[in-house]
Amino acid sequence: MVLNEAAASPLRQASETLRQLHQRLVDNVGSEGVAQAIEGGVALFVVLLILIYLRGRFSKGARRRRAAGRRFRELARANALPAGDRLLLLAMARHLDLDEPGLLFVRRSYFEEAAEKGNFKPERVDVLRRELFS
Amino acid sequence: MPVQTTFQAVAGWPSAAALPYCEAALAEHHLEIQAPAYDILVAPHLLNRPDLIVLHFDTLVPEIRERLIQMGPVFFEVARKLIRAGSETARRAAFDLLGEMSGVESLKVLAGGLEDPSTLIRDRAARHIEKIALNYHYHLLNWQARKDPASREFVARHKGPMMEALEGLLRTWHFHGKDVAISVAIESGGDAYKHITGVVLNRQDSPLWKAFIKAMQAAHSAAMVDVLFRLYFEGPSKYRDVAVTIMHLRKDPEFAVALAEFLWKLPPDRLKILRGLKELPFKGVLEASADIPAASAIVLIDYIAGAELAGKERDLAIKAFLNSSHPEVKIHALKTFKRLNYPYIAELSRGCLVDPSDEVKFAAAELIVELVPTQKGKFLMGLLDSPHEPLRRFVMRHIAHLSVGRYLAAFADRDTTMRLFADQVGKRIDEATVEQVGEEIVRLEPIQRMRALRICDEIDVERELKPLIRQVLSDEQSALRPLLVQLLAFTGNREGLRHLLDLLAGGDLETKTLVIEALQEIHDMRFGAMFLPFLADPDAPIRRAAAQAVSTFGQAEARLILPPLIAMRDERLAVAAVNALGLTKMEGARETLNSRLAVESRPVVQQAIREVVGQWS
Repeated sequence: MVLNEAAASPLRQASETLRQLHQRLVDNVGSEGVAQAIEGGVALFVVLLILIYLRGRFSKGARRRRAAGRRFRELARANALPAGDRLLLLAMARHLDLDEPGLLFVRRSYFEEAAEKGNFKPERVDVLRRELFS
Repeated sequence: MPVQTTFQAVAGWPSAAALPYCEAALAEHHLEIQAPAYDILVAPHLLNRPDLIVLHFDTLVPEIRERLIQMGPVFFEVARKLIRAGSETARRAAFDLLGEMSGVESLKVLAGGLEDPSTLIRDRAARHIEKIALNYHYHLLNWQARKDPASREFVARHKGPMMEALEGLLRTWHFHGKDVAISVAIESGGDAYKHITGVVLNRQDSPLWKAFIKAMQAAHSAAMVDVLFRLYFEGPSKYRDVAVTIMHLRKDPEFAVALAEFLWKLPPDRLKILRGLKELPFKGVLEASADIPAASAIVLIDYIAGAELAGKERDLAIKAFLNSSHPEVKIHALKTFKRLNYPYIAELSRGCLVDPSDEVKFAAAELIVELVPTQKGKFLMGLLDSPHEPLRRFVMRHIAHLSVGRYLAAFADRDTTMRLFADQVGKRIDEATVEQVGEEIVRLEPIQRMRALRICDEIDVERELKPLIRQVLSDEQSALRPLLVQLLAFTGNREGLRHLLDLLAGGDLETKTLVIEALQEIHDMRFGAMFLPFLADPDAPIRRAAAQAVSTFGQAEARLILPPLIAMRDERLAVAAVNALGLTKMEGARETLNSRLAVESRPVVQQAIREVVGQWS
């Protein structure tokens, strides 16, 4: 009972805050109907934002990208790549528009193509080549 | 290794995540990248996806392909499944794998690829088939031509699958157009005969039919000949026509070699059938007889000689080999004609006496001697100048026929003393000495040589020999004169020798001088002693002339021969030897007789010695 009351109290406070905001809006626009229309529009906008966020967070492509990122990190960890090399590899993957950056660990031809055309520092590329393929 | 580390991590992922990494690795032409991916893909407890390896077969490095062969059955089975139910890419990859990695055993599956809806796959399948068939064809030829045991083993191992696939290859020939399929069928001989008749010759004048005829014209193996004769003997007449057409078209020596090899290897029962032919279907090849290798030509001659051909056709065919560039072939042809009792063999042999080869001339000369002994001198005379020593000797021997035996035989029917004296002289002369006399005749200039050979011949004594001897004696420059005694002696011409003594005993002074000159020219006393038997001649003047000739020109020999004869057990012969010594009146003969008298116990011999010595003084 005490717990229910404690939980209900913030709701009551939020409800009171919303009521005060509504009253202030009515006072400002001078019409109850217009104020309700504005409030409905704002609510709809917020719901839309939430939906957009949820889609971005849990879509198939996003999951794939995240999984690809995870695999890249796992391979980088397995090969004990330092942060600088990881970034370089990711930059190479971006340069090649690779959805699966981890493929650079096994596709040497991609690596060489990026190294050749990506304008990366040759000495860093050499070090990375040795770390990955030697 | 970093790549190894990467794939250790990949191996732990779910297959959906790991497969793209493995496939990506197989696309890289680096062993160190492909190898771990391959391991993960084939491992049954990991990804177990050998089909993906088949799909990426074209990018696999040779080392991985080697490893793939080690697991051949697994991959071949996967490839077959992909061919049955895969996409075009998968089918193409599977055909490539079978074509590259498998061998003859996959030919049947590959032949199926020739009917694939995809043009690309049909082309690839045809290319793989050609490669495998060419390899088999190479081993077939290598076995047939060089008897290479490795090739023999290869062919024996793959013959079954090859023959099984061959039918399909020939049936789909219009798709792939690979002539190697026809070549394999031809070189397989009897093994592929049913495919040849059932598929190749099924439709007359089809492109396949024409390609077969062309291939048969180019082939030169015994297997091809086997196919030809099967077509000739078996099946409908159209096959026989094909065989006859091909055999008529083949006029090259290589075909002759193939024919000979086929005939040589033929079992007796089949050879008997072949010999039963009343015609020579391959007579076109005789046009190349000049270039046919000797061994092959000899086999063909033997076949033709044994075949039941009409005499004229057979003789013409064998005669063609007299144009051969190989002496041994011509000799074999001549001998075959002799064996066949060819009526014109003597003429053929005479023709061969002018052959460029000495061996052929020799063989022809032998035949002439055997076939026309009465005219051998006339025909062989020209060969006395031959630089070929055995031939020259042979001709000399047969024209002049010089021998110690003939000298001995000339006195064989005379009395014992003459025979004994001839034997003693004969013992001192060997055949090599006789041959030297023959060589000297060869070295004479042609006219003198002709005269020499006339003397050697069996000519009439009164009408021809005596005038000839006088002619030779009277020619002071003649190189034949010093050989006169030897010639008469070694041809057993007793009459001739006696005629010389006759001239010495009863001729005028000029004639006697000529005879003595001729005897003086004898360089070897052994020949001077050849008159020794005439010391026992019934005619006293002849005995005296003989004694004169022997004591003057054969003294050393007589001294060696006669004294030992006095000691002979036979008293008659001992007395004859005493008388001979007495007749010769040689230097030291009296001392010899006196010393013998001192030890002689036989009264008859003692008496003879006393009489001879008494007449002397």
